[in-house]
Amino acid sequence: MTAKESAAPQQAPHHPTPRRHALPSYLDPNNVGPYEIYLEQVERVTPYLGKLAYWVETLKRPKRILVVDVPIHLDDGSVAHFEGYRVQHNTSRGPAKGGVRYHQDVTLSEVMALSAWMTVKNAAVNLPYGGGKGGIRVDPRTLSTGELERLTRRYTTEIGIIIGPDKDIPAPDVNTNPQTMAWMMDTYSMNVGRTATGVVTGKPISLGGSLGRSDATGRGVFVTGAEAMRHAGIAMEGARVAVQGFGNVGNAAARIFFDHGAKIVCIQDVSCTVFAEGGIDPYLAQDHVRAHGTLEGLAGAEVVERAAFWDVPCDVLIPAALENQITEANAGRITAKVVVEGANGPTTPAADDVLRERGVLVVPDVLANAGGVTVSYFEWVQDFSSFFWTEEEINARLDRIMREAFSGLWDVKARHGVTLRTAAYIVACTRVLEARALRGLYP
Amino acid sequence: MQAAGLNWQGLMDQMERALPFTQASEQSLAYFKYPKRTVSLSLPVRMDDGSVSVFKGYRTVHSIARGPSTGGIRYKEGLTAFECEVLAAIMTLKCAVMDLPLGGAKGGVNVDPFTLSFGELERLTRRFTSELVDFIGPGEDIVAPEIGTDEQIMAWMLDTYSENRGTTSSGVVTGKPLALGGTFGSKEARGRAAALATQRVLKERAVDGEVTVAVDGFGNVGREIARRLIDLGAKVVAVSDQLGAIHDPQGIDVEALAEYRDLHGSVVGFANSLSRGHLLTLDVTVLALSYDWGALGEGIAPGVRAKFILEAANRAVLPEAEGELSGLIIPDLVAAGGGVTLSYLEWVQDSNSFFWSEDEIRSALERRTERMLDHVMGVQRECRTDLRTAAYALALNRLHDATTLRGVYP
Repeated sequence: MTAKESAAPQQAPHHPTPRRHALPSYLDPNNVGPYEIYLEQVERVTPYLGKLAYWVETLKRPKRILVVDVPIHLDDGSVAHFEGYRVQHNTSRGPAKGGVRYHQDVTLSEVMALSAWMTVKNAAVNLPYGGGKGGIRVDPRTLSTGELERLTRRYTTEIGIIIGPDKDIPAPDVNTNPQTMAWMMDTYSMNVGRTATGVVTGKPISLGGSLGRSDATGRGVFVTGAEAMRHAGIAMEGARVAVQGFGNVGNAAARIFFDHGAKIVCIQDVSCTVFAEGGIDPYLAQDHVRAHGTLEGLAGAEVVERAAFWDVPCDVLIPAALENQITEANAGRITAKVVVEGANGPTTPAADDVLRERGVLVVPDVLANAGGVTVSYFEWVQDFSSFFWTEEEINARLDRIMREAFSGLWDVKARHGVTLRTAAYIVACTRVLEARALRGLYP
Repeated sequence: MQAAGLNWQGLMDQMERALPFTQASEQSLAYFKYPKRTVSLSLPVRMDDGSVSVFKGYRTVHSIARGPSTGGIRYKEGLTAFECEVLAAIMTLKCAVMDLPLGGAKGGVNVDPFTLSFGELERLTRRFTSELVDFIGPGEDIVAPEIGTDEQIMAWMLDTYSENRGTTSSGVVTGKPLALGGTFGSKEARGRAAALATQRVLKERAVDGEVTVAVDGFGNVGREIARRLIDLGAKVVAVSDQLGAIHDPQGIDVEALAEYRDLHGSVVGFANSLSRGHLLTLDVTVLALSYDWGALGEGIAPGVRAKFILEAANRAVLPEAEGELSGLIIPDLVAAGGGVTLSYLEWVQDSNSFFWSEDEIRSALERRTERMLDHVMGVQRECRTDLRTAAYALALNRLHDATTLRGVYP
């Protein structure tokens, strides 16, 4: 009795498969930058999209790019101009969402790519968001606190015409933090004449921030890692875990794995690599780092060569430091059966192939470290209702979303015989394009 | 112009009958005697052959006393503004009985959607939505699918409204696809709640022995009613759709029938045929009416032998026929509120952008339905009246409170 019955056969219009993309004129064809990597990923996943491939060009073109001049008074009385960006890659599934980074090497292509990857991550975990990203081309170490505040306020005003709780929600990223978010929230609120806490996430708790945020990414690493272990037939109790990076993510992941009975056999951070056959207590390691600024000298653990990290016999390996850590050179030595990418892009494509051939299960970054954006999402939801949840509620809901995301990806992995990483792209692109197809072209 | 059988006066008479059981006065009743607003639109659409067709569209908001209005959009040949007004008023009462913070609305386009191509349907929907942009919205008037409309049409409405407003506004429509902020369970909700009401009434009346059921209308609602009642031990002996009816005294396998209908487009041919009129007069325990308004009119009512008449479609029993029926009516305000309750739950989820699990949604629906039944049956016992009058009394009391508290603006 619905119109759909008569309409369904024509839903995917008969049209030749999409043309190969033409680069937008505002990118240099000789030096496309990070956006090219993203475009290649879309090309690779297109054959799996079925009829939705009709809409694939949508993924290749950001919906909206805003480039702004950000002039501020420096403390010495002079005026300095900085380049600011905000890119909304896609809003088919909901408002744009993504961080703001301050870095001297920020380029338009980079911000475009990062915004596109946010679209993918948000869709892979099934959050009702599109993707966005922003940035200012500035070395924040050269600015005083007052200059940083003026820079942030002017930037927020400039992008104020396109952001908002139901349009585009920034968050902290490289070199930005809860204080930056507080300034952004204040500037936006003053401009619109009301308190709009939901315009940014990653705020201080006292300004509508969420509990559970600092451990959120590490917690997501644990939940997805535990699911992967279940599928790989590894028992949690006594499982040997090696962690690279002992910052926010690695630290939390190590603690939560430890709490659930796993044995942290090796931790590497910038200072050194420590190993203990009987396992390291990450709480003691955390205290030690706080007291001494290094893992060196941790009781019960021996310091080993940095390169030896990749040879440590273990069941689970968690790269939670920088990009490009697992390379063709070390991928063959890794003994772990499960790799959980706490960091962004820790595995090079060539190393990814090696791990796949060796049967190592890799939980890709878009899934493994999505705990952070998921709690950002919770923060935004709580801001809407001005009603705040307990940490237990947040953790329970985070666990549920991460587990459901994992199992959805796992089904697709099984159906197409692909890696979890490819499955994540298939699921994400399918969700975005499904929304695009349902909404159709306006007007 | 009045559509035959849909009678505004009948509605007023039913309200008057409930008035003695309420705090409401004639004066507060006056608020509900007229719809707040009816917009009548002319919708030009470029057809695939290059010509332009102009369709008539309507949207009635009956009341916003208790909150923003909500109600379906139907694409139906012969639709009139009058039909929208009567059905919008019933939505107001139904939302009040369900204790939802919403008022009633209804709208649609006078068109047979099966005569349009996919592109024509999209252009019609987008034009209709553009014309309605100043009247609808998550805080103003929330639109839902109905006869002749579906989740794709809701997706186009959402997109058109959102692009016009410059924000993602998923709460402006309900019954959306899951991919766009829809909710689990919206297809089954109405049938589920109707079955719950039936179960309660049968228990209340201490019906024992075999329960036989005839189902008029085999869309989402009729199917789910049949399924749920079979789960509760009943036997479905007859089913109809727009092309005819079938009958099997041994009981019909509803899952097999649903598959058969999806394949063949009708229930006809699955078992012995009978006329729809014959189905309506079968000697069964429950006659479930889930087709559209006006299934039981004056002519057929005296022949209806069912002991219980489940009015799962709004106004399925016309007021003039009501006195002729020997069976007990489980009225629309009680039996047809599951759909709008789910719409409400979807709207709440959209306004928080936070989505619940299937279990949470199902239990919220059941809890609300059970509570509504407690309230209506409480009024019925207290006032010693029929279920319909009790439901009207409950609704009018709540509406009276809201209008009195708000006062007269300005």
